[in-house]
Amino acid sequence: MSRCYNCDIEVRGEVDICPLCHNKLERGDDTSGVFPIKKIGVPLKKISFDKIFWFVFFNTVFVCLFINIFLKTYYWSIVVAAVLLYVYVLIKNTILSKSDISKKLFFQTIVLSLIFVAMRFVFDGPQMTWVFEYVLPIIYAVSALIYGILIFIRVHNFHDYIIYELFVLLLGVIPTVLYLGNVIEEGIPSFICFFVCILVFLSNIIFSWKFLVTELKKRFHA
Amino acid sequence: MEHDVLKWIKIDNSARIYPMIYSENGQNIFRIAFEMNGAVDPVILHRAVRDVLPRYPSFKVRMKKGLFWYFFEENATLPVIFKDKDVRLDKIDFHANNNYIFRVCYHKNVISLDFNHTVTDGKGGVEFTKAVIFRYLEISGYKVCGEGLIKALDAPPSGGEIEDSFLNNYKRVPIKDIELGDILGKKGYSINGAPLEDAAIGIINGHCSVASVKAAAKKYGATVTEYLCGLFMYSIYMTNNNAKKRPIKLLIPINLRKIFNSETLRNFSFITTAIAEVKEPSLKFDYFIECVKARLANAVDPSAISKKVAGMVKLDKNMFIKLIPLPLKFIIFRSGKKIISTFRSSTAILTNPGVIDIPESMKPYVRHINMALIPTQNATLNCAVISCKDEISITFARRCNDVDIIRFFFSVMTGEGADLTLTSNYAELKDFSGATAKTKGSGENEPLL
Repeated sequence: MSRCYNCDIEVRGEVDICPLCHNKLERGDDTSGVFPIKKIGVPLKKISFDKIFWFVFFNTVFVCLFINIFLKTYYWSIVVAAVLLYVYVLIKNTILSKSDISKKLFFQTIVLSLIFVAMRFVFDGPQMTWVFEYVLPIIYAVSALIYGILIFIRVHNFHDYIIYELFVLLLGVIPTVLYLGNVIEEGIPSFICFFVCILVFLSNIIFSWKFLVTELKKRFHA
Repeated sequence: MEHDVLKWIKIDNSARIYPMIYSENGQNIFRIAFEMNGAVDPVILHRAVRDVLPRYPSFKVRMKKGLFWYFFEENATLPVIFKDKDVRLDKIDFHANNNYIFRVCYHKNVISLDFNHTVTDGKGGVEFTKAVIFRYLEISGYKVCGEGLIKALDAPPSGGEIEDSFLNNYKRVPIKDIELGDILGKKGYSINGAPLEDAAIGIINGHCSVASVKAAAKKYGATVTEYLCGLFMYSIYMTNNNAKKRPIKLLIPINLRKIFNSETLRNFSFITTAIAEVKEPSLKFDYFIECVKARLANAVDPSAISKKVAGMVKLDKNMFIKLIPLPLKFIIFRSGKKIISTFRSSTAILTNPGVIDIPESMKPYVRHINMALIPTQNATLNCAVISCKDEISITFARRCNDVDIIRFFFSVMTGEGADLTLTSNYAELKDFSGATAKTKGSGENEPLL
């Protein structure tokens, strides 16, 4: 224990200077520290992933847009921007994120859907109907299947997955609704997606009814 | 495909908005640390936590999002034991901690538990920490006996321990009588100053005999809490000229368990504010003690407390608030907090959960106990007081570089006969000649304190 005669106090720990008055301490025998001492050096300034990404993003998009306008072709630079944004989401929210797999899968499902739907409206034309006829049903069916498998093989994480799964199952109904509403012409992928979603939902009800009800009570408590 | 239905509980009334108003980077954390006589064995500590957790179900939880509120769900895993870092009171990384809302750390011979305020308050945290330490000693082979001060691990937890005591003690009060606490009122003085480098938190802990502080308090006809609160306000007044422009507002958490005869281990306290108008020149220490006394006397009045509890619960029972979706609540509560802290900010917090009763058989193995409360962006200097084994521990946690207030505080104490021993987590490296010294072994330039 060291002593500060100025403050008339004992000071514990591996310090030479009084924490209060900054005068030199008279060192005693026991100088073992109670706290890990904070040692501050000059921190290395790390360049964040965000900064690098947005630098690359804006430069690439501006160059593409410039070429795009110069060549007077259709707006393919928007596709470049969309793909880069997706890469950002993929790295930031899926690869680097510490969230559990159900959140990542849900996020991917939503972002992919939004990108394709946005492209459908930007490049409006008969050649883009494949977005609703094939892409969305495939995304939702694959996502629902993965949730179904995850719940089956990682039973103890059921409560983490179920709410996201239910949202995806609801989304899986949309392509069929669009087909029945004559918005799209090709119905087979939509029906397959609907069938997969119903199958996964039924398996939840049959195997985990009690759990499902409790989970819904938890999530919707007011 | 079989699995258990995990139990779940609503977050208690007072803590329900914490997850919304505090980001993960700015958690509301307090620490209770036991300094043992021997070096801590992390394996035994892990076993102790594993054994104790089932007895304390309100701690064996993880926080999850619902559509309208966060809630607690039983956590099927075990918390991780961390080696203490030099950054103290750092945010709890839920992912790294198996989603537990409290964190267990050790450093040499110190066992520390950091609690996010959402899970419990000081008193609940103390009870849980005591149980972990007791079990740690038991597994280590020491002959210790609970003596009725530690909950038996084989006894089932009582309903009272996990109840939301705010709800259970809620009595309908006419709207006109409801008190909103100290939300309304003048803006208090803010302690400003250059922040510590790396946004670190500086901790200075002082401990001395309870008797010396009691004797000093007696001179002013005050309790220990009143004396320390008064001294804290007086120190702020004496060391900051700017403090004379705005009132000094000290937040003091009041434990409601004794008043309502509750044994809950969840949050059951509310905050009262001692306000000292400091426009008059040359105010004496007595004035600040009287300010605190007057406030605390009013704060523990059962009818006044009932009105405040009613105010807190009424807000929570409001159907309109209940049905606002969680993302919208985030925006509303966070903006509300920002507005209140901008226009009604307080100066500092002093918390004193009181005397910790530990069994006589444990005392030989526990050297010191201390508590620390994270300083916030507004209250950049906080104080936590705890007493055990005839010793009182006073811990200041600060975000700012300046230690004038702490120096003044402790100098008054030593002047009144306290036999203080200090510990700091921050290497003060400016020697008496004013030159910058170097950290032992680090070879790096250190900041002046």
